[in-house]
Amino acid sequence: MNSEDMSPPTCRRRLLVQALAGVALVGGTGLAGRALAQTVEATPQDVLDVVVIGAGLAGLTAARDLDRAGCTSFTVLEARDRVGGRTVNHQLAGGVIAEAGGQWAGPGQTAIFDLARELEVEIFPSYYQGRNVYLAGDARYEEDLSAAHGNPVTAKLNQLSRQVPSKEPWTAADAPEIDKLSVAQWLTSQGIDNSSRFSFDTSIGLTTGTPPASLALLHYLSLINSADCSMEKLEGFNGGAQETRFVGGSQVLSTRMGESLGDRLRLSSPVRKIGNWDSDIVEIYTDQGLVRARQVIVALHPALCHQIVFEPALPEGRAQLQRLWPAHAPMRKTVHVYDRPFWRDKGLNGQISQADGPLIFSCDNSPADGSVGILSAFVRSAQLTHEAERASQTLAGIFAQALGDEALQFRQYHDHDWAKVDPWTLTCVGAIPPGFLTRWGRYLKPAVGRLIWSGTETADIWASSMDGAVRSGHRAALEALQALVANRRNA
Amino acid sequence: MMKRALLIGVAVGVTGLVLAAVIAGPQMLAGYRFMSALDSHYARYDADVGTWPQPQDTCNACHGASGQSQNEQYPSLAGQQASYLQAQLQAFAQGKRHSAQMEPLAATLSDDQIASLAQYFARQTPLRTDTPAADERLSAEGQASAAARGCSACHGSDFMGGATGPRLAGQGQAYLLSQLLAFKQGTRTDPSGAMNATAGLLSPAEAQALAHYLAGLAAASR
Ligand SMILES: Cc1cc2nc3c(=O)[nH]c(=O)nc-3n(C[C@H](O)[C@H](O)[C@H](O)COP(=O)(O)OP(=O)(O)OC[C@H]3O[C@@H](n4cnc5c(N)ncnc54)[C@H](O)[C@@H]3O)c2cc1C
Repeated sequence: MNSEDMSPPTCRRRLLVQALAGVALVGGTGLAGRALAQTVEATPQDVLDVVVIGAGLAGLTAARDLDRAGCTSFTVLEARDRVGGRTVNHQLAGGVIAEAGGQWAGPGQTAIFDLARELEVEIFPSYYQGRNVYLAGDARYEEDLSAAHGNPVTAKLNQLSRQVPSKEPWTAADAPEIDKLSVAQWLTSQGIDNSSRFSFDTSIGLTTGTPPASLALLHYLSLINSADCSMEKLEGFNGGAQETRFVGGSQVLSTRMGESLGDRLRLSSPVRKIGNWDSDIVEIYTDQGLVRARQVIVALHPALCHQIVFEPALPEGRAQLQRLWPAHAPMRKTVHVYDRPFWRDKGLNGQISQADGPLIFSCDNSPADGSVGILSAFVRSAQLTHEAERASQTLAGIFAQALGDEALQFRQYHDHDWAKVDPWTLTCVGAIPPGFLTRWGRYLKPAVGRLIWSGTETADIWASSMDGAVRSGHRAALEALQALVANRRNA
Repeated sequence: MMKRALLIGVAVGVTGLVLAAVIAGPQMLAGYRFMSALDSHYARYDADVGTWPQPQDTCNACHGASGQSQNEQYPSLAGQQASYLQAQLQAFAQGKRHSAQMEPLAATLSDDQIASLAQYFARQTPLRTDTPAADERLSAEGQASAAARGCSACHGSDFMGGATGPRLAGQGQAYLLSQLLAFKQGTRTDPSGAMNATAGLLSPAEAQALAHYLAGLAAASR
């Protein structure tokens, strides 16, 4: 026994029972060492059928499915004091919200739309009517994208994506060849011009969190494949995955699912260690004590899995996948609130792309009724001071160059840098480099012992989006239920 | 010029410029000026970084254009010693220095890429990362601490880096403080042990003063 554990057995037993009853024992991380040191002495009735780790869209969907299947013996463990993971609402004045994380959905993303309908969350169209503004140095250019139609390069990407199944891109016939290339290397082979380079840089940077230079062509083709083999559907607003928003903000989906779980959801319970995952009863050590379960759904990004100690160590392939899965797509998203969406009166849609400054892309994120004007912006984290006053003014200056001086008169400002706010996201989406999926991809989904992997990264369709998270939750719940049945049969 | 304007945007995306079939009048002029600005932006890239694509593209989001961060939470790489940058990238790749973001990223780089990235950032002109809100008393305390702890022995008399220590002058205050505390707590280790020993002596208040002082120094050119 670990020398840190001084508690007598009875006390230790009480700790365990309390933890299982969902009572927060000791706040903060100080307990981590103690929790890790506890030995397991509980009786079988203390063992849950399933523990779900992570209360993002994936974990909560899995829990909801378990519940609906009649499985009552489960608990969701969430590190943060909130649900929603990579979706979170900024609460603005007057009940208005703006999302700091995932927010858009579109055609083909049926899983998230079904979930919204079941939870009675309304949807509304994103506002994108009017002209976009492009900035480079002092130059400013406006263009109406409704004239958009395909072009040879995207047509070729769409064509190539047909051979790369989103489910397991590494099984594509010429995966080894395709996976040697970054998207940028492929683009240069197509002889693209500077305006295309700018478009791809911005678009792909937003969708995947990494520039085309370090994004695997294989991975990007698999994302396009998810989107009905159409880059336009993957990247576009009109008819694309950015077309629709959720009334009350995307986090509302998770809030509703969390509420219906009652005390089977435990917040502020980061999992630090998972023991005995290869035997009948798995031990899950959290800052709030030890929980034991027959099956575990790990609904986390692979890089977050890597932060957990596994005992015994995971098989080499899975361990390497977690260690090497890229985590450098931290995104920073800001919000400026205006009295009105004034840009609409000028025929502008609030979308601004800047080639050479802190702004990557802004968009109109006003509520459905347009009662206040909200500009949300993705910014280049290190090109904008962290200090709120100066950061908000710098951005407002850029907005003014694009939309007019009214942009200087904002009412509120919010800033969310996912890499710095807390340690529970680390990275936003899939910044997969060449060579990665063909080497490690096959270790992503197969369960290991009693551990079932979930989270949007494991989705068969629409991986890395909210829709993929929901799909991966459904799949994980089915796997867990099937494993419980199989284990009982074998027992 | 007409042809040029017509060429604007052939990619479709979230932000995609599109092939606008008819561009005329003032919009064509604006389009032309925009394209010229974009062309010079990319020409500077090609001259400075190399023929697109280069791995530097991936570094920019968190370390700034040309490795010069303007956010005190993110370290600047511009003007940093090549040997230091190389050693850090190797340490991340081997899991000897910890960062959830940097470890997998560095592990994808070849030795040659690491060497050339280190050389590239070393030759960029360093600036002050962010201007900390002035606090003269804190700066004076930090200056006294730097003298008492002998920081300049390794980091150079102007704190622009010496034979064994990296550039500190003008790094972001939050980044400097996080690293001092990481050395103190042992979550970051210095192979020579010197930084762990020195930082181990610092109270949180002294670490704060040191970070404030160093962040406020101008980055001297070399
Ligand atoms: C800025 C940004 C913009 C985006 N835009 C869009 C968009 O417009 N449309 C779209 O579809 N998608 C978008 N996404 C992606 C989308 O948000 C995610 O794909 C989706 O929310 C992921 O859900 P998940 O449940 O798989 O993971 P997460 O949401 O990351 O959930 C994981 C949960 O696990 C918790 N956790 C972590 N470690 C532990 C631990 N050790 N113990 C216990 N709990 C732990 C976390 O706190 C978190 O709650 C965006 C993401 C970001 C960040």
